[in-house]
Amino acid sequence: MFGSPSLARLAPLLLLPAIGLLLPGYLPQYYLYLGNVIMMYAVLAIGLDLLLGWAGQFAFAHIAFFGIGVYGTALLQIKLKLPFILAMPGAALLAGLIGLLIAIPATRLRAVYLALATFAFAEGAQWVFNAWESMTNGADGLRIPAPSLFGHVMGNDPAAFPLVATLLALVLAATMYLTTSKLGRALCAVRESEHAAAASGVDVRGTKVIAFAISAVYAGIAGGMFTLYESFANPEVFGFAQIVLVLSMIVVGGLGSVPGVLIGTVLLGVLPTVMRTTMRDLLVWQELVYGVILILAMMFMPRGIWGFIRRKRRAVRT
Amino acid sequence: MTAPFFSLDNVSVRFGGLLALQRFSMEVAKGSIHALIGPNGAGKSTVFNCVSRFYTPSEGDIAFEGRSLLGVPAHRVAGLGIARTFQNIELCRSLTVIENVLIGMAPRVRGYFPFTPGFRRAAVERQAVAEAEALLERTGLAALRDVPAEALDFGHQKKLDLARALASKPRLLLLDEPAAGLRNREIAALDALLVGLAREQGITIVLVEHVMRLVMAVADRITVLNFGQKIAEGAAAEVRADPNVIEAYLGQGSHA
Repeated sequence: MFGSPSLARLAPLLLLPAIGLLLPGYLPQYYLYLGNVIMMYAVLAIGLDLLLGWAGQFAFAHIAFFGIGVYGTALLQIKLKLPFILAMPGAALLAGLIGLLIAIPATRLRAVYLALATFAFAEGAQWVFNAWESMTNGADGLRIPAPSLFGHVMGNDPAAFPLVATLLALVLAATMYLTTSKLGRALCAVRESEHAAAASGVDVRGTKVIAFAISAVYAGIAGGMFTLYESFANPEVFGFAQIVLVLSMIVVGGLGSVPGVLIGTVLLGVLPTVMRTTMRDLLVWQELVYGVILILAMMFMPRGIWGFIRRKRRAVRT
Repeated sequence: MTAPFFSLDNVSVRFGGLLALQRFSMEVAKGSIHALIGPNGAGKSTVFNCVSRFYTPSEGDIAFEGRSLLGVPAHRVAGLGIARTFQNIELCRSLTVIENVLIGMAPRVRGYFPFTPGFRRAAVERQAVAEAEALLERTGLAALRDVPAEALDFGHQKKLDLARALASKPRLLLLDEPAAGLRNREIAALDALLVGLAREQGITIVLVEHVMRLVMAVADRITVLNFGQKIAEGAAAEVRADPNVIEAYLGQGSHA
């Protein structure tokens, strides 16, 4: 529903930073790592969902903006000696700016042409991460400096956990405001019917460009979150497999819904660990498991797990 | 001489070799219901799509309240006071009824940034929702407020398409076959609704329609198109008697 997010929906977000501060005292490191990864993916997936699920634009440049976020945050600290608190927003804005530049020509394209063009951009970006050795250290990978915030040094999982959780809470709050606004409506209108949108006074192309840029900023923020707990980045992280994983999270959870994307992110974020402990020698088949999950989700829950739950709830009520 | 309220002046539209509209002119008087009729493929929807700025004429001009629309991008047309419905119903199918109406209000909901919290935003949105609810009440959709558009039956989808168009508070309303597929009872209600919009709210209506009973009942003036050209124009009684129209459109022996 549109309007303004209610306090009842915003208040639970305050739990995230609180949990973020508490859990590192109780959980083993590995679970904190898993938590960091899932929270980072949640931001990445919600950002892609704004463009794909909300605005209905099948664009795949997202992983490139994630890369710009990671390298940008790290390099602004290394080369310009900026503190993390400036480096991360700087990198996110840079991702947004490049997203805006890409969007201006890309939004002239539709459907499969848009998918191909943005996929080509992502491949190109990965090539740049590989080739620009003086900046990224190429295929050998870049050591990410441990960021510090007001004297609190991060770079490992327990230390990063509270800030990663806080960033996720901020992004979720921003997303609630965005999606319940007139821009949220405009995104849906563009997705559902460009003709109805334009005739209703929605600037179709402008809305797509804005969605593109905002989505890129989200990816940039996710990149910054990555640098909080990872100490190493190499171009392989920003490859095709990643985009498939993020896409699966959205599709399995439910396109165009924040709770759905969160469900999908947790499920597919935990899955690799579950498979590692249960499949043992069969682990070589894990790609197949992803594929089967994606196909089953599309066959039986075309609107994802969240869409399925909502339909059941509606059926119960009536 | 004052400029007409809404006019097309020698408008031609070409799709490759096909001339969809051929030097077509039409003047619509303020507050009137002006029907645009003609056989399938005559170019009626093309006229609407030019006004919506989906198509650009190869020659001629379209003017509303004395200013040309040809330099106006599609999304600014609604803000100028022109709304339309679609022949094949264009709705945001997965959104609810009220959400569709809110989308129709897009040019009028302003004054805040999407990410910003705050009272101003809440006030703007509350006002918009209240207006949308009032409109649903008037169009008989209030009970379906939170139903997804795709779950509505055909008649209600048509109503919603109209409600979405009315949400922008237009001064000129373009209706593309509003009666198509409706039952007799629904057409009678539509008849009353259109007359009410024109007479009570002063909304000028251009009506593309095949249901002659409706056209003859509500239209102040009728323009007849065939193969992209105007073949007749006048008051309902005149057009009905015009042998060209009977020949080309209504067919011989018709008593529409």
